[in-house]
Amino acid sequence: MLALVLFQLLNGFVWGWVVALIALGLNLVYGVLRIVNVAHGAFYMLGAVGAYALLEALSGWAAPYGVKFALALLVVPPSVGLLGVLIEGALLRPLIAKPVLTVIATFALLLILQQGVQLALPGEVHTLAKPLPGGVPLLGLRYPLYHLALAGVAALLLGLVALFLYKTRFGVWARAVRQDRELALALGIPVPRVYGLTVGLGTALAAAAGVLVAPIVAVEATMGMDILIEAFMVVIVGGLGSLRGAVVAALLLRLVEGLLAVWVEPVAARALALLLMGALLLIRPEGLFGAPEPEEA
Amino acid sequence: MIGHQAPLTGAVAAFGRWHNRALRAAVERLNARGGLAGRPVRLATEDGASTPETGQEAFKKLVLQHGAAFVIGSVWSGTNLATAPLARELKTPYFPQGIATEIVGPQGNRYIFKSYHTVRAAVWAGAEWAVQHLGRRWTIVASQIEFAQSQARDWRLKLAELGAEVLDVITVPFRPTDFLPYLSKVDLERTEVLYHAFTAVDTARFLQAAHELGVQGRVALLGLIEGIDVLDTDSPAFEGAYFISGYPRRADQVPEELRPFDRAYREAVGIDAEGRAADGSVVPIADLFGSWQALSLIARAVEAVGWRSPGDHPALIEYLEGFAWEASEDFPQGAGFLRAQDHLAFHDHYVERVERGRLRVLERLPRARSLYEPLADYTTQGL
Amino acid sequence: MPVSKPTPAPALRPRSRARPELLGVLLVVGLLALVPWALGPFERGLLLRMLIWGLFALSFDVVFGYAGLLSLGHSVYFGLGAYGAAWTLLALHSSASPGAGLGTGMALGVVLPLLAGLGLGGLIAIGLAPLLVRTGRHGFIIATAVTALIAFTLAQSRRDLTGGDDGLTLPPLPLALGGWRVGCADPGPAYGLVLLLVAMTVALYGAIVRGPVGLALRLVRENERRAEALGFDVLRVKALAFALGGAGAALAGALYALTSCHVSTRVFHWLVSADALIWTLFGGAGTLVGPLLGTAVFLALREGLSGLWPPGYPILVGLALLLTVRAFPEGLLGLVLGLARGAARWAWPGRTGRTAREARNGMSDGDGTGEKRAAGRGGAQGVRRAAGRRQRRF
Repeated sequence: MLALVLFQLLNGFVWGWVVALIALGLNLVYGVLRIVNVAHGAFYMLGAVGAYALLEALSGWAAPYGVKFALALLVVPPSVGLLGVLIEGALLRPLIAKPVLTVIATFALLLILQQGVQLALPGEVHTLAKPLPGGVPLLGLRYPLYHLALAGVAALLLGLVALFLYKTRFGVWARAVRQDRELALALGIPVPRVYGLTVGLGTALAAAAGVLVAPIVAVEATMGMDILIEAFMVVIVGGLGSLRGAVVAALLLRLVEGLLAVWVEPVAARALALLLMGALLLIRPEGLFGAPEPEEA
Repeated sequence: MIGHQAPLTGAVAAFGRWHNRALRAAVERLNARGGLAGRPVRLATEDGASTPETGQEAFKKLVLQHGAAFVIGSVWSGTNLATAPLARELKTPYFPQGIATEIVGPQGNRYIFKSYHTVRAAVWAGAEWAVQHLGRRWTIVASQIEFAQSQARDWRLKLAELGAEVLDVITVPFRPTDFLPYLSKVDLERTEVLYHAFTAVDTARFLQAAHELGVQGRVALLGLIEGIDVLDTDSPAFEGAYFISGYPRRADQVPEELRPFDRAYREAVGIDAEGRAADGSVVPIADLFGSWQALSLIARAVEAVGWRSPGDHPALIEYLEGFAWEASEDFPQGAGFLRAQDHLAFHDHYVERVERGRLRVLERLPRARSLYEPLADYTTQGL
Repeated sequence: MPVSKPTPAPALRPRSRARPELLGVLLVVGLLALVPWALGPFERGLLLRMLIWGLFALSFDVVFGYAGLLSLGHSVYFGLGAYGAAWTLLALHSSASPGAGLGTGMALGVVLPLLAGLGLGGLIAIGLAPLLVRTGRHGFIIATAVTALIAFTLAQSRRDLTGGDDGLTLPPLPLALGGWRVGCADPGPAYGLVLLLVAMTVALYGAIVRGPVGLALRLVRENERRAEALGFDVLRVKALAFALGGAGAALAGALYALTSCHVSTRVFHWLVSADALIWTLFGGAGTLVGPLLGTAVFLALREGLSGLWPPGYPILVGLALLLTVRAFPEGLLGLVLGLARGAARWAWPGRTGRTAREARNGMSDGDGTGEKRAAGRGGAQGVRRAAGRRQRRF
């Protein structure tokens, strides 16, 4: 029993970091641009698919698999981030004053990216080998080592993002734009550049999550569909625009789900965890760390 | 005109494409021999997208727009169940390729023909062997789709009958993000047989996760071959796993007396002796018999009753009820028969095991073992 | 609800314009009522689906186009309507002996499932409406998406009740016209029933959005603060729109389940809400005809493409959406009416395209003038089609 509780909690903890990574990107883009990016899940998918394609392409190369995977982790997220920057400039910028249209545009983007990948990647579902095989003994079971490494890398990335936002000039700009766009403009902050970089960073984070989970999930074109809404949930429970909230809520959601899975069927545990989060919202509509949405925002 | 309600996209698209290819080969073969009722056969294909809703639309299109007189169904059991009432309403014989037991239960009707086994037939065929050789304490892990839930239900029933114990049935959503929360609920201390019911990719991921957790060696892993039908078994995660199948994947495992037909069949569809296609992908060879033999059944019946148009369907249906066959190029899977009451084909089964990366037949299970009480009697229904 | 008129209100316009419009509506309904009987069962089925999904899109538009709230959880009420009707139909089917008292049996067998679906979906929409509209414009999008996720996951976890992905197979509706029974492949008389109910709902929605409630909705959509200053309870107006839309979605869901002989948990998925968004936006948001038109076009398109190149459909939808957003945010209806207006102006210089503009029935152009643009990103964060159009017009 204790083993099971520990196991489920550990697993919830690991996945919590992944969801946090996705939700953080979503929330960052929302905070700065006031755009609800429905295509965010597609960038997560692109990360995983990109890692798969790159590793397939490198399969002839004799380097150890772990090195190749590390390469994918270094190359794929920035590439997807670059795509995000381009998309922001070409597609979202002209619509930025019309928030609902940006939602629709990102949804259109989701459809196109998803179906494009489906067409480009023959076969439906793909699996990747783990860069770190083996596991650590855990009270009679063996917990996969890679899952632990994954949580570590995700947490590290989150830390780096925090440093970036709080210690660099761009971070100061981004936070300034988040607080007051007009004032930031008046102060001479290059708002369009901040927009582009923020979307780039947000999509790169989603892609990083995609690369990281690629070895443990089924890599397929529609994999971003449901995790997107889960990230939505996390974002709103944590508080719209609150980065700290996103991380806390992601961990909370997955830990609760893991804990419930000890007693009920995991399928029901998921539904129950989501319901509990929904109930939490009834008590605190503005989320754990959120301020009520500004009237004009 | 024969229609194929094929899941060309979605979860079981790989199966859908293979069935379509087998049907094309079968139609070609029919046409080379003069077609059906003196006319060449045309195959119309509509994408059922592995969902019941699209499958229904595809069926309507095939019958109402393409004028298909017979429809070979999707391999998605949910689609088959949703299509059954349409087949009856449009009075079109429907050959579903999903294997959930319920397809030929009370939800089915006289226009439904199963030319390949159901889950229950496979479970009944293999249960005694499994309990004897693998163990008496079972845990069942099943995907949340009809195909898998049907397996969970039927194993519970049969295991109870045999006095074996089912410790737990763990339901897993279709394509879960992670198998660990489900696998960790398996009581490895007490379980002797870990039965898994998933479709291809999920099976591979399940076995991989089980391998990592260190489940292998502690319990026997058992499943239906449908779960790994398009998968390569050459992986440490598959080693030692048992499967119940309707036909051996590898030609050298096929019983002696079936080998000539086996060769012709593999050549017609384009499958090599290892069960692979020319491009190296694994072919669901046993599963394809459902489509191949559906066409053989249609051809035999059309010939026998002098079928000319859908108006002759009643005679054709009555002819097929109870129809029996010997092994031949039409029925390379071996001798079998179509039970009159529930229109279900019975044939032999095999227990296969992955040894050094390849499937090896351990035992041939005679079809008499798979006979179960019919769940419905369609012969009492009107036509 | 108190209605003050900030600017010349639609009601002050000449009454005569209603005539040609009414004629047009009667003509379309008449065609829809008569033509299908000459078509084959497949085409009849396609028209039936267009009507049902069109109703769903229209109910979405009441929330989105009229009240300016983008709900990704609209599928929840469709799904509840579908399952409410399905469960009732199954319960009646298993309890009733077939053929007994066909007259009353028929009435009950049709009316009870419909009411159950409408009731289940409608009541839950009414219950959730006040909670969801509190979340602010962006929060609303996310919160509603989350309701779809919760409903979908719950439905999936109770496979015993819902049938999960594979769904429940339902008996055909116990309805017959003469000897013609409703079937699963051929809706037959059910088509008439659906047409009647859809037409009634459209008329009801029409009456609502043209009345004082409609004015309040538009005011809230265009400028919340102003609406508040004028004494409107903004949250109540929004909740009302949400409940109205939810009830329409529930009716569409019930009709869907009862005419397709099958329902699965897929109906709860947020992508179903997104479908309504696509159809509505493409057809013309904030109008009564637009969503119906958009739905018909897209379903016909999907039907055509499925034979040619099935994977092409989603990409095409994506491109069509982007084009709509960038080039004609008023949707197909706006585009067609704009062209007609241009043609009219060319043919009869001096007369403006008054009729064409009026035909876009829900969109009054009196409320709120250009000053919203001046407020920069401020003002309502609702759909800005109106603003865009105004710019082009003036």
